[in-house]
Amino acid sequence: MPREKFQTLTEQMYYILLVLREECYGMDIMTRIQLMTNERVIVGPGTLYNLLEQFEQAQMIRETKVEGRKRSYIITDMGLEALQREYHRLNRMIFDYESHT
Amino acid sequence: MKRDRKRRIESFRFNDFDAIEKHLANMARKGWHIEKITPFYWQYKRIDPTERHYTITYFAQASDFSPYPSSNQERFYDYCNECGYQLAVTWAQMQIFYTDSEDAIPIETDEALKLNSIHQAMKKNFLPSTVVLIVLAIFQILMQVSSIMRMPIMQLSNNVYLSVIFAWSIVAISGFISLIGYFKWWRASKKATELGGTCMPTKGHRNLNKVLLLLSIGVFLWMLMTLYEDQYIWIGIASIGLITMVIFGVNYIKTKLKAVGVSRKTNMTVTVISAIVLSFIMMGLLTTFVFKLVDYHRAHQSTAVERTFSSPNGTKHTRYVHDDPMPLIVEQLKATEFDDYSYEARDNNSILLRWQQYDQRDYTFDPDVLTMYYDIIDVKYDWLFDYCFDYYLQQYVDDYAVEEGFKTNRYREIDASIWQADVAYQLYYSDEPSETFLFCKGNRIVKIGYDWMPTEAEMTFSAETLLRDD
Repeated sequence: MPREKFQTLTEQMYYILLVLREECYGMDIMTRIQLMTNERVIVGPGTLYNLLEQFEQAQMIRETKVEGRKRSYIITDMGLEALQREYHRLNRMIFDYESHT
Repeated sequence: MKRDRKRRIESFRFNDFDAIEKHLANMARKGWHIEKITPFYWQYKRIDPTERHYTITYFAQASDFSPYPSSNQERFYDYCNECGYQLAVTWAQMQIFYTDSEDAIPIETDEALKLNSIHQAMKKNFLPSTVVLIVLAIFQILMQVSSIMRMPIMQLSNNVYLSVIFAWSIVAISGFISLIGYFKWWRASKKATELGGTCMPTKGHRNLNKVLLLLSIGVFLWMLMTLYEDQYIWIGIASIGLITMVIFGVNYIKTKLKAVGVSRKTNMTVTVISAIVLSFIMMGLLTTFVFKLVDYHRAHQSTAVERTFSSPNGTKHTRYVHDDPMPLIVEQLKATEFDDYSYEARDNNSILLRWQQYDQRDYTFDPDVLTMYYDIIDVKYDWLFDYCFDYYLQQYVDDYAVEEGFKTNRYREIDASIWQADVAYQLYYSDEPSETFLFCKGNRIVKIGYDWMPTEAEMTFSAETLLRDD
């Protein structure tokens, strides 16, 4: 069934937003996610480009500066809201799991 | 000396990224790296044989008319470069990257996003162009079929005409296969990615593409051979030459405009306008060439001689007088002193029908000079016979007159034994018999029109001559 855009986040969306709580430029996002997750989550360059563009269009992140071809981004309130919503959803899932096993 | 570059005609479809990736890796293993993709060929440059990994992505905003990559595209390239990917070549929205690293991060790590990117790119280029091509092919096929229904004998006896229908049918089939194949893949991939799976492998139908390519070449050669037999091969060669020049010309304009940095919109507008203008120029040149060739053919190759005649009322007119061999002439049936006849024969032979037309004319239009004409049609397949014969039977019937109850021409069945035929008809205008007859034996149909009412002996002699195999 089609998912309404960004009502729930995929793992890669979640970590991009998580990283962007601090100002970060494109490639740096990829590296930070790898470090943060011990290389468990990898975001490919094509996926990163597409997600950054979609997040920007949805006003979940905003561009902070452009240095040559490097662009930096930071999360917006709307993005934080989506990140928190996902965090709570994941917690509920953990709670449900724990209370039923 | 070893060549550094090589060009190949490839039969990949735009959406068949799996097969293209595998093919390019295979070429690199053999020491060839993709360097350029043009509408006509793919160009490879020699490298040391290597295990190279190719990844294809589709960038919806990319355009074949843009002079250089957009800033977004460049940013996308930068991300890929930093992950160890180099851009090999682009083909409209298709971006082909390569890496020599064994453990490079995949460019796309979200299958749903990957599918969405591919679909957006396909909606921009591949899908609309394929639909336009299919519509154009169907329109052409319908035009040809409607022409066959109006003039079945003329069209079905012409191999060039039939080969045009085959050619457009191949275009339509190829387009349908692409479109259906793509949508099947897209639906299956959509289902799979919604359930957390990956995009399905693409099925490029490469073998089918090769069959269609071979069929196209076959139809093309057949068309050329037919034209050669028709002695109008130069029309075919000129058409192919001019069409090729238009395609190359339009592509040249697009490439040059790109090279000088003209914007995407301007390039697109100029290219489309130049395609229309060049097509009109091509049609004009071709039409002029056809007229000149027909004149040349008449003057130098045909037996026809241009002569001026005087009608009984004194007016002068110029006509081409032919002296072609005819199996039956008036002189075999009637004693005549007239020696200014034009004997014209035309022979159209296709895989379905042979249609021979003979016409013995008098251009002085003297009412005392007897003339005649006849058509001999050999239908090569039984299933086609009734259709052709019915066409002749209905040829002179005026449907409006029939509806309104007016007098009209109509064939009436007559005794076939006089014609030594399976069946024979005579054309009547209301109740008045005319000198036009239609008869058939086996798969041969003969229609003959005399200038006089023939005797039974003349009918039998005519039939004996015209039903005889060559």
